[in-house]
Amino acid sequence: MADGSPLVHENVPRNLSFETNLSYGDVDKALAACDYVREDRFQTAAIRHGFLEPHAALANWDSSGKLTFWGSKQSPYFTYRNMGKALGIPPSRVRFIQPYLGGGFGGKNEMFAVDFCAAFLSRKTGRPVKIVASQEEVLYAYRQRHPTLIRIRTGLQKDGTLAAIDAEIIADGGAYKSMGSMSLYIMCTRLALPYRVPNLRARGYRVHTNTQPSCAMRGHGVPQIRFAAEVQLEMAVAELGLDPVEVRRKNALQPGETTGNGLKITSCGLTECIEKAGDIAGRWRGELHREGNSRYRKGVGVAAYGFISGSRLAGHNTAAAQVKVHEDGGIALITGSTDCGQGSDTALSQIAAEVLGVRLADIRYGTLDSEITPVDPGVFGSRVTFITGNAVKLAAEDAKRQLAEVAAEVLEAAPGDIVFRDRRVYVAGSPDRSLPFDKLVKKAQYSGTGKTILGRGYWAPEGIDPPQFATGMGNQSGAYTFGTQVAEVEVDVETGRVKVCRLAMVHDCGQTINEMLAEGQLEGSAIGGIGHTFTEEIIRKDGQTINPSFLEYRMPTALDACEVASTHTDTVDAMGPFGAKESGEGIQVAITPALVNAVHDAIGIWFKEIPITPDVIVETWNSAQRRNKGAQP
Amino acid sequence: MTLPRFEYLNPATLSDALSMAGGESAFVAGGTDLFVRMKERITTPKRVIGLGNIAGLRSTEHLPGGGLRIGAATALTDLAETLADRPQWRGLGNAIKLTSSPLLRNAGTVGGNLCQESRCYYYNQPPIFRKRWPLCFKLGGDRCHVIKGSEVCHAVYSGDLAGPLMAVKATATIAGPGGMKKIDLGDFFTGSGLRPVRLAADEILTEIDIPNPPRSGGFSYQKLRLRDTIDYPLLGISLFLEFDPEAKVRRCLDARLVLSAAGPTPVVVPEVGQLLSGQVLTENHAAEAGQLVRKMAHPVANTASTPRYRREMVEVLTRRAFQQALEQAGK
Repeated sequence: MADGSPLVHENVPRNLSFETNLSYGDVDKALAACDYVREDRFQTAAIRHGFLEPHAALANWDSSGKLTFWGSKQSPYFTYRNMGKALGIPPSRVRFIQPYLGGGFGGKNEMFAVDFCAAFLSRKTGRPVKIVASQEEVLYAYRQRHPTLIRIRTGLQKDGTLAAIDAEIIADGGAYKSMGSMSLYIMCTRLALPYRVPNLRARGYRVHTNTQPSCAMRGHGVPQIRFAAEVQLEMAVAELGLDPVEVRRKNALQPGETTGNGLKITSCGLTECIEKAGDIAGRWRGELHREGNSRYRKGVGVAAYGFISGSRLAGHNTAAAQVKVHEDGGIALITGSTDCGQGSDTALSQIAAEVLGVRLADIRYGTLDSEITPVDPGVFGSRVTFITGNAVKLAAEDAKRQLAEVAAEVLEAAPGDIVFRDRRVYVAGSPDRSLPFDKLVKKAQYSGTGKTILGRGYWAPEGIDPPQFATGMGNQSGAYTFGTQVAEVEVDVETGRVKVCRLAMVHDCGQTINEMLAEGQLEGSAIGGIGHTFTEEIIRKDGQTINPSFLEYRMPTALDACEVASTHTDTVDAMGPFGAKESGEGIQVAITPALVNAVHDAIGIWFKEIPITPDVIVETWNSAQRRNKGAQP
Repeated sequence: MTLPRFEYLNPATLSDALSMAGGESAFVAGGTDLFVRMKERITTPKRVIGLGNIAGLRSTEHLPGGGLRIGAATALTDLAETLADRPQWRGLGNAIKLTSSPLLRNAGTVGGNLCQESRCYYYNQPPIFRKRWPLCFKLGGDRCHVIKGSEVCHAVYSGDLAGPLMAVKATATIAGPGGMKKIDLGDFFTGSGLRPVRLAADEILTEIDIPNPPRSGGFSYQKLRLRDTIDYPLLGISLFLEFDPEAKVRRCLDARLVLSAAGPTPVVVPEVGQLLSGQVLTENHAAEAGQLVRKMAHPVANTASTPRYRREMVEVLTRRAFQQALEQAGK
């Protein structure tokens, strides 16, 4: 970044891959006028997505000049468009089929060399070509979470009211751009979320280095900034002698507020989240046995966050769905969304079943095939349940309307009075005037005019602005989610090993569509965050990754996981399908600060760099002990 | 990564197995060490000779006089269960459970664990990695990347079983073309990062004998690692203490401390034995022993964490080993 530095790309001056400058209010004035200001520098390491299925591609170029492509993508339509461009053919001649996917976590949005090479070689040879990267190659040379340096200055009033934040974020983008502009844009524009901060300035710089490119990864930029902002808030609160839960409650965004950069908060259960999490933290602290001389020290920490339910990229944002009703009452549902393990196929099927009054088992969800399924932006920014879910709801309602017309004729009632429930339709108020669902479909299909029931729906939230990369202003999502994370840790001060004893989260995800899947999402996210905080790090020697294996790149295993309890607030989002919002991704952004705050509670030391490794804990602890001894001769 | 092609032989007797060895062959028991290196193409034997079908290698036998003879192909899980049966061996059994994960302990064997290759950041890597730097000593090259200018290999021996078994004075039996020989387990290790164990290509480690535990003894294995569920040790301290069963005080008759995972070979620290034998043990002895062991430990940057941290933990783990061994002895 410094003038005169060697350039990674000759056409990118100062190696600046992207920069953004968001500002609202009067930061300098507010910082000068407020009661308390502190500045800190935080640092986060490069980490991996850690999906189990490596990047893979199977391409078949046929003699008609059409490409059929099976990939491993969470956003297949990125590749569908890019592949067309790369091969110089229209996208309609690219048939993208996405089989079941072994994880994505933000690392399988883009098109990679394996995809292009498979397609190009198939065209060249006239034979199907399959390329599968090894897990070592994925860990050695593919994408990573942006490592960051975050300088942040926060001003508060002495009662804990946030006055201003001034931040400079420098992210190592690696050799290529990937979707890194979006990453920096998100880091800056969501820096203050979930709090009300009247004055904010955030400058973001994405810098090229000659290492692996950084891209989106679960939480997309927010884990890094939430770590910095939440830990710094806790430090400020400690110095001001305030209650960290009360300060969070005081600054919490409320329903109906619009932030300084235009994020429109609609449903918001944050206050309830903070209060309930405060109760849990209080209870846990009461249960701690703190022994002054013990080598094991326990502590409890809290952190809060806000997230989105689907973000908008610059282009296409609409999701679509189609519901085809079979004559036996079975439903074929297709959308353009991909389930990369989060369980969206199930949640979307549940939505269709609920509308049509049939069982979940009656729904058959067809995975993505660009020749058949609707075009879709992809799976990013926690959008599928919220946005595709609404499209599915509309498609199912469309099919229901068509069936209701037939039922109305048969049952001699108004279409609006037909109720769909338990695989039957009946007239509201007269449950005896009814028809089994499958009979109704047959009646429609076999009638003289022959009605084929095909429901169609498409949806995107209104009032969402495309990203304003230069200014960061504008509303980003149809609904925002909130939550609070509580963590209890035990630090072995002699070895520096940290054991995460238990985690609890209070989460506003609107109304849950599938409790078990939501829980799985929350738990996976939280345990992933433990890795980011304590054990995961890409280690390089001479710029080369030296730990490209799951043995040496230390993600927590299932056996490392601790007890995780999750509860939801009873928030109903007016826009979300059946009141639902984002669930799971958001919690990964609050886990690190909750753990770091818990470590401070345990041993009285603030850590501003993650991962916090045992050697650093031992060194810091020992020098603090020496200082204390020196201070008390 | 997938395994390279190889011929698999499955002998039913030890003599058949020995006669099959030679010329680019490798013996395999659980495969948890060998197959990983084969997948990385670090080693590519043409013939792999399975030892799992040789009944004698999987048996456990109680020896007259109270010792235990363990067949080298005994799974780690099975050995831990056998040791749990006797109170005096329970500590040793718990130590075995610190090895890797339950799945790998079900597959991995006692002999395989002892015979495992030493490890290094520059050695245990996929083929693409080896294009980056000139080959190191352990890969057949002419240099060490860990210590620039070093004339020897600095790979670390990371076996979990060697330290505990050496501490309790186990012996190893080796079968070869010339017959069987029995050696102290400590003599099984070469001290070299290049080839950690003294075993020729046509020799098989067949059994380990653990002597009868003393009437009053205590044992501890302290393992340093970053994840408690699967990782190799970054440092290991094994301590075996024998006490005078008649004395009411903690009079130590014999003590053996083994330092492992800190260098190319597990080593007994004889100074600790000299320090403690005949003494009534106090906390000061633990601290003094820790300093002695620290002098012997010279970890280098060949694995996770830092050499400085690994060295600093020597005293901590030694102290903890003392506490645990004393507790176990009921002292």
